[in-house]
Amino acid sequence: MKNIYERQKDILSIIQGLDISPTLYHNAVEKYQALGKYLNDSGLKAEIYPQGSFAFGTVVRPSAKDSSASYDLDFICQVMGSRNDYTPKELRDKVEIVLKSNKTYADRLKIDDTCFTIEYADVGEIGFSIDVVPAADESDEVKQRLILKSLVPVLIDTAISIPKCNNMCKFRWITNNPKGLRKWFDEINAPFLSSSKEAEQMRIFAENRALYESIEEIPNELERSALQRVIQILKCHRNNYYARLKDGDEIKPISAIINVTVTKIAEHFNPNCTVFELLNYVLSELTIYGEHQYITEKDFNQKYGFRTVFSRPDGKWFIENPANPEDNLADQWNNDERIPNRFFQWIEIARKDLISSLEQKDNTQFRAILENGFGSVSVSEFLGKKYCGEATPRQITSQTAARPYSAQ
Amino acid sequence: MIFTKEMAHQQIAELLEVQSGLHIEAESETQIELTGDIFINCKSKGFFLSENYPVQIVIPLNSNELPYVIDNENRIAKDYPHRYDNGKLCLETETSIRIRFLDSFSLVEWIREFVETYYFSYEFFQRYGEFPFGERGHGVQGIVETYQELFQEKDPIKVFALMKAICEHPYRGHSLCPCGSNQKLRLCHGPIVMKYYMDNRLNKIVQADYKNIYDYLVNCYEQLRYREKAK
Ligand SMILES: [Zn+2]
Ligand SMILES: [Zn+2]
Repeated sequence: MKNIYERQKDILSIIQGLDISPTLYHNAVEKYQALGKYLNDSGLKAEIYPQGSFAFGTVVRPSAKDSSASYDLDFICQVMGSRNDYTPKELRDKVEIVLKSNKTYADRLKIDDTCFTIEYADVGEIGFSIDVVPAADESDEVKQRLILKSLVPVLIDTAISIPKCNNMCKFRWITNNPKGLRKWFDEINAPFLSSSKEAEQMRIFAENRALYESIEEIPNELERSALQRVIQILKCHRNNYYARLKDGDEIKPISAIINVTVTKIAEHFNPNCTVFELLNYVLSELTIYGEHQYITEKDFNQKYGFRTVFSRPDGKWFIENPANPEDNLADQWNNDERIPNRFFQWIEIARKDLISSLEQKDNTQFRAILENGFGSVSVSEFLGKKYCGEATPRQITSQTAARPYSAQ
Repeated sequence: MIFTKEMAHQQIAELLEVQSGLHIEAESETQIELTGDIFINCKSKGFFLSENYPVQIVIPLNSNELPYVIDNENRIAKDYPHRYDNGKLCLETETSIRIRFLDSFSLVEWIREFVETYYFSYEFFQRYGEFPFGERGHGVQGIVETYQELFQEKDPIKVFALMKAICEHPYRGHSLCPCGSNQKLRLCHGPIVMKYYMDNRLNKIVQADYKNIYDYLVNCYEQLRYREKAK
């Protein structure tokens, strides 16, 4: 008999395994707080706070070519004052100078267009790196403009400005609002979180007896809701799917799109659901949004009613960043149609792998689907040989493999 | 590689040991037909396939025709470019298959190397929109590609010239290489193509393919001339 519930549990245990461990979490928090203290001690008044997956609690270990891939954790270093107090280049230089003047940081530092990366990965261990993006408060003029456009104006207050270098390393300001986005996410996530809170505390406590003496010591940030798990499952499946494509790196959908669209879809769903009930709903909704590829905006709205997570006025894809009305998360989709085409093909595959195959496939088939979806390294790491058939899969040598041919 | 009934039965017995989902469905003086499921369990390029496929396998007897597979339950999507309308699977060029089994045909190895790989490519393509090992051009193009690989020569014109020479002349290492390099054959393509001159079985395969390509080119030329006139 196929035990669907057990298969779901096994998928969850892979995701739990790929999530950041409490030890690593505490280590990362300690490191970014120490960095904040160092900056302030050095006379740079600044606040460091997490953004992206680390802020949302949706971190997954990147799909590993080798098994020691490290986590990329993203932070904002918001320097006191507004953008009117600096040129973009001045702000960036200010942070750079302080980071370089301390050997601990200077030795681990890598610099690119928008951020400073501090590597904490130790040899042979799963480590992490901290990406620090310098920023200043957004100007009042811009905030006023955003408030007028925003569906959730209360989020705008935390908007920031980031020095971004275009070609020729000319810096200009880019508006962003990671704190606002986190606030938006946390509010939608709250009911989901409270429904799983108790079970999560018990799980984390049971798995980390050496770390915590009581449940009260467990930071809330380590608890995961069904919503967070769904985002993690999809991100991990995405990593493995796009890693197989020749142009995967160019057309992989950004994590922000998964975070925002899944959260918007989940907003009106029953927060007491299981992970897989929500996943099923999210994937079926995303499949409906895929219809935007084939029918007009008018027909879509007529057929599918009030569905606004993705829209396509005048043929242009649009996914609004809820914390920044001027930010279209699907910007790139309008420059390269491979991105939306492949995105919805991926959704179709994810739906087969994560929903229908659980009841349709036998054990060895299911094992193959798990390895395709989550990577064979991770599946073996967290499930061992479970679901493996008697025969190990035969390796096809690609250089000498037959290629399909038709004479007509 | 002509199957007598005895040889066919012996190989079928070996095949049924590894593919126990198959059975003999029908048998006549001219062919044996197997039906049932084949189980495929392989991996490559980070993709795993573990799946059963319903098939009909036809093994022609006392004939030079190769065995073939029919997707009798339409498991392959209609729009997949490598399935004939009658359900026959486009496994590989006959050239590749015949050369692979030049010394002796093995049904078990044929299934493993050509049929399993076919389904693997199919599933990979359905999932990722790409062929894991590439695909052959249709018709004559695929045959020329096969020889481009066999002769390790990228230029199709040179390949065609080499095929022509193999069909029409004996091997002479000191004469000029037909590829037009102005070098002696033995210092140019000779070492690679020599066996196609010397081995009768290989020579026959090249003869058949050369005739195919030649007829195709003549046909194209005729059509072109006809169109010119019509203007
Ligand atoms: Zn074909
Ligand atoms: Zn030559």
